[in-house]
Amino acid sequence: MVKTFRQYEEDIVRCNRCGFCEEVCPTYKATGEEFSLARGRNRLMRQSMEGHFDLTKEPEINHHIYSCLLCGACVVTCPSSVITDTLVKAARAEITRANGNPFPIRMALRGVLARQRRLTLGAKALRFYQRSGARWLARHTGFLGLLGSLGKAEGLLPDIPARTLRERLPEVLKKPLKPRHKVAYFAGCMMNNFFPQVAESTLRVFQENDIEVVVPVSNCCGIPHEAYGETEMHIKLAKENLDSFKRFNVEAVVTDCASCAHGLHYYAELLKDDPEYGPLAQEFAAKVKEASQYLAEVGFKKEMGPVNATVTYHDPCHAVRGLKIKNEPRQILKSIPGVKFVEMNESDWCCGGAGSYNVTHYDLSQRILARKMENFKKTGAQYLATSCPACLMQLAHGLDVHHLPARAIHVMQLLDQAYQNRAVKSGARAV
Amino acid sequence: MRQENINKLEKILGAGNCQVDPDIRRQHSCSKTALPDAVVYPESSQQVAEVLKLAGEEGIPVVPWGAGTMACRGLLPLAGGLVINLTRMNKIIEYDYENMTAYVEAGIPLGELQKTLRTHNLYWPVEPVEPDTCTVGGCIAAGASGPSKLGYGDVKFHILGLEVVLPTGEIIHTGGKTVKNVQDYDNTRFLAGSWGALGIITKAMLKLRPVPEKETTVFLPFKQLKEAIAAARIIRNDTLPVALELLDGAAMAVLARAGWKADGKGPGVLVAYNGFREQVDTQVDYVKKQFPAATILEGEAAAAAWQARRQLFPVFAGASGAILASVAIPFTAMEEFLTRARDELKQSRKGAALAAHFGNGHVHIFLDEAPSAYAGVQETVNRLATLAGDLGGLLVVDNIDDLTLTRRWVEARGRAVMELLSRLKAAFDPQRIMAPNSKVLAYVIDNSRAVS
Amino acid sequence: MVDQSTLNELVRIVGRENVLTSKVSLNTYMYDASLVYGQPEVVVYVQNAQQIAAIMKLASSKKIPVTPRGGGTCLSGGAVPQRGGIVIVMTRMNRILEIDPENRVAVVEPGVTNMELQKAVAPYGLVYMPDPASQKVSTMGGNLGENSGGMRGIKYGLTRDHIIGMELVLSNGEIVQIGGKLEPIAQELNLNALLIGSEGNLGIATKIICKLTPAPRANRTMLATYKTLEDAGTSVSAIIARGIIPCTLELMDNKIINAVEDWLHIGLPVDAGAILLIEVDGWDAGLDRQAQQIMEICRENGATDVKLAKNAKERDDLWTARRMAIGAIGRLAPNYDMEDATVPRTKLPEILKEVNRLSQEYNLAIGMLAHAGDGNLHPLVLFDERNKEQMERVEKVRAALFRKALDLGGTLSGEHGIGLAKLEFVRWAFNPEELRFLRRVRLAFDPSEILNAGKTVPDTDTAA
Repeated sequence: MVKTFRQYEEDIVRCNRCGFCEEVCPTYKATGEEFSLARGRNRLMRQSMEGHFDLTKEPEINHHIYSCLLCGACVVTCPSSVITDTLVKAARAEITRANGNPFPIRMALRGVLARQRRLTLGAKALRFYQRSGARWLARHTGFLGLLGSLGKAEGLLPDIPARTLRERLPEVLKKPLKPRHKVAYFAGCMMNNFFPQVAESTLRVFQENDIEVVVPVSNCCGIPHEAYGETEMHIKLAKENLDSFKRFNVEAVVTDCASCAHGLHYYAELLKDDPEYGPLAQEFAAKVKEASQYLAEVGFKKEMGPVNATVTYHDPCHAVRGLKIKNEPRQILKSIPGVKFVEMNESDWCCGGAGSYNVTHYDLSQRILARKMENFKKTGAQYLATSCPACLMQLAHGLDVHHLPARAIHVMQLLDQAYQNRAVKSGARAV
Repeated sequence: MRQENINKLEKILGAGNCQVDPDIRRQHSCSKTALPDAVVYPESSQQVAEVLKLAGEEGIPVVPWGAGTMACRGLLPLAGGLVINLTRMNKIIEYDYENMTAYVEAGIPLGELQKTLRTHNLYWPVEPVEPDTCTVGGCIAAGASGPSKLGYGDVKFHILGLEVVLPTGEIIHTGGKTVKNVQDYDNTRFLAGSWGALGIITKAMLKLRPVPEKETTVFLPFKQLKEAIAAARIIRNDTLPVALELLDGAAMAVLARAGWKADGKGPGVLVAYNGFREQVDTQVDYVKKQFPAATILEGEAAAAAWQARRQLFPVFAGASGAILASVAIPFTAMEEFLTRARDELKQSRKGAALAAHFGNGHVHIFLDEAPSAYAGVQETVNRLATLAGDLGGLLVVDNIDDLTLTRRWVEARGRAVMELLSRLKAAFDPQRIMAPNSKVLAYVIDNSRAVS
Repeated sequence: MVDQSTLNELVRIVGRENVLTSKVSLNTYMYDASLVYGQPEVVVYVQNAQQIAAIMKLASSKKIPVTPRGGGTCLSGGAVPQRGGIVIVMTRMNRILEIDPENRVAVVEPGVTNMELQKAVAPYGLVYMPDPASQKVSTMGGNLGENSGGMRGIKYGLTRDHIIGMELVLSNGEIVQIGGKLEPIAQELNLNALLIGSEGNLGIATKIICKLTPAPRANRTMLATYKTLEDAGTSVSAIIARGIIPCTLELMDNKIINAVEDWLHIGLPVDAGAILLIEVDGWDAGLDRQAQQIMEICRENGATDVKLAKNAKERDDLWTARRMAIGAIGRLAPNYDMEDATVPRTKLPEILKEVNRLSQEYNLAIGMLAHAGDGNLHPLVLFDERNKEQMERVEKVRAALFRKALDLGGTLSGEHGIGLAKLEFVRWAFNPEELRFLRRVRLAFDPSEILNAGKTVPDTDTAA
């Protein structure tokens, strides 16, 4: 059972208004506004709880509740450990319960993200838009300007590949000769449709390490739904995924999307009190691993070819704070010969992508991204590595918009490249 | 002053404590001809308050006085009025050596105070020109400082609170006994350096320091000013001296006359270190390594050198007097200023000397002309002032009556500043009796749109 | 007070998007980090001194109260608009304008946080010495207004020792330059001194000139454990009496120790009455001897154990308890109140005893933190804001604490300021004459008394 907003009273009163969240709140840093700060959002939520406002009828409060990145940095730094991100999500659920989400959001969440076939259809339509000349037209006729944030966000889209991951699976999935482990791979929405080449790298890397991978049918992990307070849908998706994965006897459920990893892990909490799915969710959650986390645990081959580049790493919020994953991706990067690893200042600061935040709050997300790009510039790195496709999309956009001669890349892609370079070096056929 | 007022004063203070003798009045003035009408010697803050109340009622200007060692640096000549001499109020009220504070009456001479403080291995790190006779109140009112202001700052860094008798006759307390204290506006530091223009300091809570374990002075002789400047820069950037003085050749010659002679004729650098012995030794060794010609002075020799340095201007001035100009310059412009000023003086004023508190960016220019004959050096001074201004600094002439340079500097702060200062003066001293000849406000009072 | 024509004028000055009047946005500007609340009428975001000057001109002509605000982390109500009016938010004036390493000076806008300045000057081997505990979030304008202290205060001084000038907007909208980058040489009144710690009553600083200090080259860190708070207090006095002035001398009591240990399990001595975190810094030469002397003194004065850090990691570990103290206490109750009454150092044991006594008399949990070197207490009183009866007891404890601090020759506030939170107690510290005098000083700067009106100096019964 998920706690409702009112049930968080004891948590919300813990805020002493000390203001220490000002140090790490990206929306505050970008705006200097109290209501764009964890403390200010807490204030509005508490005032609502105490009856000064009706949370569900105040568009301004709604706005501030939704301008939160849910990055969780405030929670880590708060001397009183106020769980602001959880409170914000509870507030959103409360608002959604009363008002429902605006039609486009509802459509996106229920009609598209919760239906993988439609999502893929949508992706293909976007690909057509990109390649047919329609994009050129849209960009050059000012049509995009009419679409507000959405229009601005259009530039975020990567070039969508011809085939999804699932469509490529027959060529990619190869059972290793002597598998040491067997895992189920969770194909997240973004990986499957927007970055199948990244997912391919992950699968190749796993198979290179004698790990057998199966890819069960799955639906959206539900994190976007949680972010928009669509609790019912969130639970429905969770159960669907649990039902699908329980059919496979695997050691771990692995994903290369940090957000999905956190989302899947959260099923245990989400369904804690569910009589039917509770135990299944616990069992499932215990098996959920982010890709670099898993490889660090079971060990990975160190025989690689060189990737001669300076590399730095951006910590996705869901990894570093959601799952407390900090060393594992760095361990992998540092193990690649030829890589000069440089730590980036504020590497664990949100990039502003935050799932769909860069679409719904394009301007603010770009200001937050600008800070990330400033920090990146100082590293002098050629690769900006990360382990979340949402971050990947946002960071790539940032490098483009700020004209930085570097590439945003997933950790698994670099590892995959290293393994491939060894094959080339040793004279084996290049893949 | 009317006889009836003299009578009233005698009644408040006792007959012997109100003096009209001309010699005494002359000792308490900054001119041979403009004298106060009387000098009074109160023994308590209450008496000071009563005197001020009377002065307020009768419109009598009042000037506070300690030992008078620095008075004429900050006061213009004033004919008439009353001088209040605080030297009878000279007790140590509380010496709390465990808390490193001393609460003293303003009239206590510094030498006596330091002697008592040393019995518990503490001292008050304030260094006026006359460190024995200057009173605590005088040090504070004058914002006294010496070469050690580099390491410790001037007097305002060493006071925690004051008892002040306002010109209205109110006795107020500022600050307190603790180092950290924000319960009032910082009138304590505000009054430091106010040269008696706002009220009379009758007691002070002093912040004390432990006597350092070791004190060492290093003297570096040079043939060229350029070398001396370069050395001083290195010393300030690489070490933590408590004092860092640079004297040109002319000043070194005066230093010899003042009681400490160095070998050689060129410019010199005097550096003081103190603290724990390893820390002092490390720095001294560093200096010696960089500058093998350096000599180390300790104990009596060091004391003599610093004593001579303090007496530099009085000795230079001698009986005929001299003009003292002070310059504040960004540290990074010190080299250029000193070099070009030296050149200018070589051409236009051969008898001049330069002495710099190098680490503070302060340069004192001694000009061999009596203050009364200022016109003779005005052109030179103007050129030096322009040089200072061009380098981002400021020149003022300390011991003449013309406050034009200072006024211009203050006005440049913004047109509202003069009004603000005027209003502040009114807040302290609505009757305008307090030291109208005090340089810090003289240029405000006589040329501003006063708002009461 | 703020009518439509005023709003129109404000919009003209800063732009419509920077003037807020909605109930929701105003609600988030009613507080700072203290327990006081006030209702603003309008919130304005500013970008530069000219805008502030224009607003002040408008406000003073109409006698509208003005509350300047930075990060809003003040612990005494300095950023709370208790009398309504205009809140001027300066968070967007956050540029570091200049760092001049050899002249050891930096110029910053008031919205720069203390830590941002520290980080900016560190690469030059320089430090901006004042290090208030809030340094990561408190802004330089606020530091200036409150004369912020910090742990290094005992050795290196406070904000007033390290800010040497500013650009200031007066209440009538005039802009003036105070102090400067150079050490003063002219015969001028020291307005700079009066402004630092003036709690935003005398003007609004729009550029702040900071003095920088060469970073100390080395340090030694120790943690001493004591059976009683008194023993710890005696050690503190003894160390300083020996002529050693540590750069850190932090005291934590049993309650804090246990709160931290319960949370982090780092092996703190849970039966100890107090622990003392001590750090000396400076030239490396001689630090070992200073450390040895300190450890001897601690042992002579009842320390049951003294640890000396041998490297950076151990130093970090010794600092953990101090660093996490407030967080640990914050977990124990919904709310905490942190006071900063200060007493002469030797009176510390006595006031610590009194705090303990008050804690029992009024049945409130109080954790004790102190900058022991300068007698600056930080009792952390735990309570629940929603419990009105408990709040009354908290107020009684505060009053008793201030009474005792003053009786011991101390002060109501060492670094957080009087603001609104301690206004009622100022009458215990100053007599009516003194309060009238303070008000006259304030009125000299702000004749219409609109800047942070009603704070710091009571304006009832103090007709100037």
